[in-house]
Amino acid sequence: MYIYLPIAEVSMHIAVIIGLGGGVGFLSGMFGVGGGFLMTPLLIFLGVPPAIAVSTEANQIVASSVSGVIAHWRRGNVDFKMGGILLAGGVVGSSLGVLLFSILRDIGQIDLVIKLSYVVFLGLIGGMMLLESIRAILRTRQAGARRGKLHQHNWLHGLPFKMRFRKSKLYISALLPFFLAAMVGVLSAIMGVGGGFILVPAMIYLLGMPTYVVIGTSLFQIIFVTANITVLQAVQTQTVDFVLAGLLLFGAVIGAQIGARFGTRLKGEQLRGLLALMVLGVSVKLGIELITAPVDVFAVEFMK
Amino acid sequence: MSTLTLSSQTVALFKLKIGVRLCLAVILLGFVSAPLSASTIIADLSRKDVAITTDFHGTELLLFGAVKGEEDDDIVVVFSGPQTKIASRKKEKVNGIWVNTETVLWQNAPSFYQLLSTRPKDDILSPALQAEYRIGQDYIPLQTKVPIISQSDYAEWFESLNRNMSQLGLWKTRVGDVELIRGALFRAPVLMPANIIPGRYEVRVLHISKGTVRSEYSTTVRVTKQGIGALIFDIAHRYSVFYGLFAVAFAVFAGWLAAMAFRRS
Repeated sequence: MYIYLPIAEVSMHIAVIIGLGGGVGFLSGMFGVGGGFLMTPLLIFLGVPPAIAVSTEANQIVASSVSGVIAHWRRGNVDFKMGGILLAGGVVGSSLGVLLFSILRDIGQIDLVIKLSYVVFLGLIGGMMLLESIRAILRTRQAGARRGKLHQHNWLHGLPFKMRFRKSKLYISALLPFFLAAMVGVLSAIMGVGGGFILVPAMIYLLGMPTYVVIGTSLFQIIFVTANITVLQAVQTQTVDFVLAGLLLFGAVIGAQIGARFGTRLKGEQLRGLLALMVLGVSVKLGIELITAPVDVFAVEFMK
Repeated sequence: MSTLTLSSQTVALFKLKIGVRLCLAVILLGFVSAPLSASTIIADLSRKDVAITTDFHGTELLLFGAVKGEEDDDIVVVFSGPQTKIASRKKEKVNGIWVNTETVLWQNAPSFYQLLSTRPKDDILSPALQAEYRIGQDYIPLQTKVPIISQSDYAEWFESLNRNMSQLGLWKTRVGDVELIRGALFRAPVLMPANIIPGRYEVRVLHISKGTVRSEYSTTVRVTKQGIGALIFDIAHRYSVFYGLFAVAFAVFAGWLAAMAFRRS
């Protein structure tokens, strides 16, 4: 059964949409990631205009982050003070990102910037994750290897506006999480992702937060960043298709449950290794698209 | 267009004094019967209203009609959709990657253009007559935002537009799709893909005999969005703040619901 998506103005098979949601949901449940970095490129690949894909995915991530944060919140694994600083930065960054997005769209360079952002950031994160998990797998084989320090003190700890974050057991400058979240917010708005794949490692390695509060806190802030993107895009460009978001979500909710059960059967470092390969895969795929000659060097775009 | 002129005539009619009324009625009668006697062609469509509803996945219309002609006459159908702004973009390799480098903005391109005929148009009509009756994609009067000076540049950009739109199923030339039966009846299927836009679609049907246009008949098809999808589109555009907040509230609720449904006890 085909469904005509009211905002995207394309007709898609309902099984394709729910299947896509389910597939990405399965992987996100298994690896404990949001999945925006898979969903947005796949939507574009299936013929959804980039602007619609990015805005609609932001809308869907609001829902998946809400359902994810509830479990962490119950266990008390959300640092609301840190989350507050992060979301302030995230809202500023994502607002700038939405603005940048519409400028790039008007000058016809949005596709390029989306693809380049994916290639660079997924390539970097995926590469680092892969190295880390290979090292971890090797380490478990050679018994007795020692762990390094969690975080080192450097110039970042000399910044002003120091604040105490009890839950994260940190006393650091508020500027650090603010600018980190602002930077990720810009990328969220342009790439149609929650940004957890950058935020989570940055919170662990850059801010030095304990791992158990990182996921909950990042999910908490992603809710607000993606909600901000959804409202801004709805007002400025009318590109939020909540019918598409709802159908994707329906599939994703079910897929995530199955994925989460599947994930428990695999070891942590194996999971991270597989995730790293997947992240690198998306980066390489889009990179190849950028360097291979298009079938037709001309393309049309309908303007409003 | 025809309903518009008719209604303005009707309004004008009411304004006239009683004395003139009879005289005008005679003229009006003549106006109505005149094209019938001169015209050699009449056509209609299986549907004049196309609704884009939630399950819309493109549609096929059947154009049919009658003609007063000979066995070897020809029929040409020009079916064109509402005008829209289209950007044509050209990619070039810059530092190893393919980047959009040039853009041409077409200000008034038809969003849909189907040329259907019994035989190739060049076998039926001279280029001069094709131009006069605007038959074929190359005779669409197009305007660009920034004029393209060079003739060869224009040709390249126009060819790309024609090719891209054809790829999308929106601009097509279908030779032989009009079936003329004994020079008296004809039929032609018109494919409207799922990506058509709402608006007025103009249909011109031409009766061509021995290299000349004998007669022309025009009608319209209306494409509208309907149902829940139309309502959502309307709200998203008219009350966009409300729509954005609603989309977020919906997502928060759906996320909460999902967490509750799969809560591990």
